Amino acid sequence: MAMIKTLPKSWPLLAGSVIIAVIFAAAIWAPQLATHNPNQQQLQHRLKAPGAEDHMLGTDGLGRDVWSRLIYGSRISLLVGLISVTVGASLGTVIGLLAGYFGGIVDTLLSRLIDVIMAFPTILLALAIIAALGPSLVNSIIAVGVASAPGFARVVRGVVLSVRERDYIQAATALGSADLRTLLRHVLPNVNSPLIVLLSVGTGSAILVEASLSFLGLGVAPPTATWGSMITDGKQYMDSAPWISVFSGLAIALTVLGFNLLGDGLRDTLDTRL
Amino acid sequence: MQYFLQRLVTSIPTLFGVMVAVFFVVHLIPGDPLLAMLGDSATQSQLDEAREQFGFDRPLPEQFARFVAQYSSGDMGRSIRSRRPVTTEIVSRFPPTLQLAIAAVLVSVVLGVPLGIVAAVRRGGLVDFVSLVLSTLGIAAPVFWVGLLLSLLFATKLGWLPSIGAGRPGDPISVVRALVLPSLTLGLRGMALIARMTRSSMLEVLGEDFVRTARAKGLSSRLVIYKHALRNAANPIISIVGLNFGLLLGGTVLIETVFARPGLGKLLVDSILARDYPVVQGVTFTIATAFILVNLATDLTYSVLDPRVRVS
Amino acid sequence: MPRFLLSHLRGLTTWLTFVGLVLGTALAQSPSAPSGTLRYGAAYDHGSLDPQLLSSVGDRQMANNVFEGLVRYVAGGTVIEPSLASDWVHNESGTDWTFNLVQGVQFHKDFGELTAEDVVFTIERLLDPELNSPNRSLMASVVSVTAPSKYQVRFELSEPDPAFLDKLANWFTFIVSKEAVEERGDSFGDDPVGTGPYQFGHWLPQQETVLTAFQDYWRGPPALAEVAFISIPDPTTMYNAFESGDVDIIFVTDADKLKRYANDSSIGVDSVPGLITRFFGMNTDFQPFANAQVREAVTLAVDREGMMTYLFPGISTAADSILAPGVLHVKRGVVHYELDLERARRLLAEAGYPDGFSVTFSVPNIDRFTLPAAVIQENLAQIGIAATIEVIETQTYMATLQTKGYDMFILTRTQDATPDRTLYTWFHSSEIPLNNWAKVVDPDVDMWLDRATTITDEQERDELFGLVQQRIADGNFYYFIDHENMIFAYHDYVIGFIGNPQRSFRLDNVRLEGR
Repeated sequence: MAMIKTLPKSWPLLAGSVIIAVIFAAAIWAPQLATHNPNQQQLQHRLKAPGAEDHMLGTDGLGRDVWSRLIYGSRISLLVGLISVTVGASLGTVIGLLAGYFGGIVDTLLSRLIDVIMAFPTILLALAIIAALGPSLVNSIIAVGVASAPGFARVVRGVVLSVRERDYIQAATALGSADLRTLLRHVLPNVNSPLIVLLSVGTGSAILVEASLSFLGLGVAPPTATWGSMITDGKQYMDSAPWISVFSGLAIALTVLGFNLLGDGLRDTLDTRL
Repeated sequence: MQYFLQRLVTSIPTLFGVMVAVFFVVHLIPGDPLLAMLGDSATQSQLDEAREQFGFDRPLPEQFARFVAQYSSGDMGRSIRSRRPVTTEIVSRFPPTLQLAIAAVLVSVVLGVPLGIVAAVRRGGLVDFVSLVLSTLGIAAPVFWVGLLLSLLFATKLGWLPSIGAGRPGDPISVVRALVLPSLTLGLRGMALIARMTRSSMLEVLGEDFVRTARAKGLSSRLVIYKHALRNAANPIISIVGLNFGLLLGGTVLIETVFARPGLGKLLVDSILARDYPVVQGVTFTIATAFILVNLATDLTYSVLDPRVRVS
Repeated sequence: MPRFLLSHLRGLTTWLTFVGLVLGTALAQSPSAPSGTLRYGAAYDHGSLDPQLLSSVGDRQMANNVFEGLVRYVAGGTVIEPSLASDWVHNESGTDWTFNLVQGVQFHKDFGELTAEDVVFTIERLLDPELNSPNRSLMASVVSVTAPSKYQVRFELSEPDPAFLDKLANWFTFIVSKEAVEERGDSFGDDPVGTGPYQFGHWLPQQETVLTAFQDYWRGPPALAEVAFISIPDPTTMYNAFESGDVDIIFVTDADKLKRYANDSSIGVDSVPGLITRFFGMNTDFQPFANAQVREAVTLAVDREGMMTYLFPGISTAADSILAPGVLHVKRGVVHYELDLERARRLLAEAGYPDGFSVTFSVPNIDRFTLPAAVIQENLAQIGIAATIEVIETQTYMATLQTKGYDMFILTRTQDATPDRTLYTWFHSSEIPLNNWAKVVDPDVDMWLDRATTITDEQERDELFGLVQQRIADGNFYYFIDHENMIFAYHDYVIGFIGNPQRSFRLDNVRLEGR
């Protein structure tokens, strides 16, 4: 147990990176790593335990290979996670920049907007958006993206505000250099660090939200393999064939853990105050 | 007091914004929003009648004004599925969800604080390691998955606790028994966070000079530890509870589905699947409002305990 | 030996006391007073308990215990026996019927005695176009229904109806209290009043509907004090609840669970071949499905054998007919599907869809449908048809299916001993959109059905119904998957439960012992 004290300080960064690299590898080389077509049903081999024949992690209720579905499921999780967080970050950064830089009415309005979006618990917001637009891959991305935007907006706005006060900015403005250029050249670099940390942790929570939507049957439509819907599919076989739900849940937990560790590690390394 | 009023005032536009968002849920739906409100099985005459009654042929701002007026008077429309007023549906579902939320918060505090204390006092020991594992898993593992696993173990395999429902109203024991697994699952994340927070506050305090001095003077170490460490940790714990509450509310949606608890969260999910939009609107509004109120309360408690906050 | 007894004296004494208490309380229970609550885990929630308006099987099950008709089916079977009518006569051509009612039958909640007036009211209500009952057309041949005396009802039909008694045994002619309907209006479905052994207690939406024993039931009060229909749409939750003892009886659709329960001595399983057909349908209003070659191609792609062997062993039997084998005038062998992906692809190309097409496959949120739907979706993907599965909550699904309709849908049809109701409502063009969901418009079929349902010559009826079934089967508007067995599982303390080929069980003779 004393081992914990002697771990290198940067161990979260290392561990997180390794995990994420593995998941990425799974997503990129899915066709090579998967042993079967993830949607191929083999009813005669349904509910086989891990290790049976050439099914490393067993099969699900329709005879589909669990390992292959997990591998391909990583694509959806990463896709939705990364794209939605990018959408949210872009949206949030723009809002934050505008609010922080222009101040006044613009700031008040945009801050209220952020407050309103943050007034909805993330899952609730995603559900409401899905309820309106209907369940699909694209709508999941939109829903999760919108829900994650406020976090970015707040951080960016905070950075902009603090940078604005600095002397050299005021000096530059007094000297007449263009506002926009000042903004971009001086503000943006300061925003990078906290943004990267948020992106990392945000991807983790985006993946969790997507999994929740899939679990409720409101995510990507079947038969596409997603980790969340695999948990749902495996739910009815929990006592006879637990591997379906257990492994897919582990996959989610591991991936989110990876992104969280990466975020923690980055935060420590970049020494940002978040 | 001034702070309280200030925060209250800033909450109002937020509430208004929430109303706007909820109003738009129906109008974002591809297709006729009226069909969405009444259900696909409405006859043409019913549709025409409703179009006039609800003013769907009016300009959007006027529709919104009607909507606000309707909601302010406590009328959230009627459920397409049950034909009962949405407010009745929501009110009848409140108790199980409220029970779950409170129980989850209790679990996270009542279990988290002692865990954190022990982890700090016996730093580097087994408990510390376990709490570390729990906290990392608690945040990364999907809450519905954890719920399924716990249900499998304690309800199905061991049969100690019920796997479904919220107990029979009027039978408090059954209600409590039905609460154990869901609240444990939901409180896990908060418990993990609070444990870590308590641990680090404790470690801070334990290292401080005056503690060593007090110890040297012979004062009961336990008393010193608890009084100062806990007071130090109180604020962060409250803020964690507040921050976590949003995730908690979101989690109730998932947990109520896993454990078939008839609460607001389950109502929301079922209504989305049934295209029962009036209920979707009403529940979304209710939960968002509750969240705003809880945030308000946590901010205020925070400010009461830490006067520095009021100044900023 | 004595030493053993002495040393375990304390344990033995405790044991004996315990046993004594249990026996004592068991004996102390009066056998005739209604006692106990039976909890049925239902996949459906209460929609409407108005007999003339309801359509879901869940509502039928509840209504079956709250209401009664003039006649009824023998418990567990399809033979007709008297119910509210003690006897009846009819003229030779079958166009004039007179029923004598049992006297002294009471309605629930003090709504008085059942009289012919209530029967007349019920039937007229069913026929009222304003009410828009989904089963109105079935009694269309009734020209008049009158009450010659307080306990006599007379029907005059425009033409003979060989399935007349069946219709009077079915749920949509269950007799309602005129006074109660007039008083409650639209909310009658949520607070019904009938003459059955159980009366409506309360409904907690999406949770449970509770019926309570009707003490003044004319055949004597039932043995159960309460029946709770607990709504558990999620099958895992339902099976868990059953296995942990939170519900007492459930309807089983999972082959693995069936196997397990059959081997469990503390669980009773009642399985009877159902008068039911499971199918998926193709709406001919949807462009590709208007083409007969496309429909045929679809039927060549479905791996039914795989489903039967691996997904549904013991649960159902593959269909070779539209109607269930037990139905009168069923024509066996009209349905004979092959699995031939090559031919399917060729047909699609010939029909003008070489690259396939997309379709939305709407499915009710129940595992009996979502499971086969997942297989069918994969099967169709093999020939290039991209079916997007859209899962919809059941009551909403039924409401939409009967109005707007779906392009591709999956469901079951419960049938009667006679084929009239089923075949007519399913395939007659006048039944669009209420029951003719594939929108079949075939003048020959209409003609055959019109004739067959109005004559009494059983041989000619057999021929005509045969023609209808052949034509519909050839058209491939539907893929008839299988006939499910009606399987109920219950804990051994449930005594007297009799299943039913239509899933419409009656609980008047069920009691609980030793729970």
